Amino acid sequence: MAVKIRLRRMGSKGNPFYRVVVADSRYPRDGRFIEEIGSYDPMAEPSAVKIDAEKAKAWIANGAQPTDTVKTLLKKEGIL
Amino acid sequence: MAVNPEFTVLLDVYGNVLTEKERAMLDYYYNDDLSLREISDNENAERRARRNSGEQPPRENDTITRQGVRDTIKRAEAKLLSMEEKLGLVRRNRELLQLTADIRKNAEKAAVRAYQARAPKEIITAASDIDTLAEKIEELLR
Repeated sequence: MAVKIRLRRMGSKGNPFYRVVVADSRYPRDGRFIEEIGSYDPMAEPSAVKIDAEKAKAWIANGAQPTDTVKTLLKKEGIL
Repeated sequence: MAVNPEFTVLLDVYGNVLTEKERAMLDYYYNDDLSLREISDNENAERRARRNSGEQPPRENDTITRQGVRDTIKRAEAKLLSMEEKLGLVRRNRELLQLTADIRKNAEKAAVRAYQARAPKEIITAASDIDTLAEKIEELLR
């Protein structure tokens, strides 16, 4: 099973807020996810990223693919 | 996209001016963080399902490429930007929210100061009423 680390939008209209989740890549839209490993608030000044570094590293070591967006966040946090 | 939450908000506000397809693709792209490849694969699977169920007659070249999705998204983004340039609702909303936050801060300060100074009760009530009203405006703006 291919596993991806991606963002999932939460938050209300005009006020986006994201969860960083590990999910099966075959069903990107069905809302299920395996584990939530962090959050990202783009509206905060400066934007607030919270990611569990241990979990992220463990998932990536096990072959999980972060999306480009998540990769950017991981780099910003010094995890990648 | 992580760098720019702007389009997510523009999509919330002006999404209705886009075609259904454009809106769906931006939604996948910005709200679900799907790659261009995943979006085109999804779209092609849906089209195939519609053809197989007989809902749509078979057509030649009825597939969309990754590049095709990219073009659609770029076009939709340009539409959103031009709406914001003409109407400026997002910027205006942001300014109004900032102002209401300032009003609330001042109203709270006034209420506390009035209380400390043992001012007449009407003054304290008026100040906290201003705060409540500003809070209602804030909710309307969100």
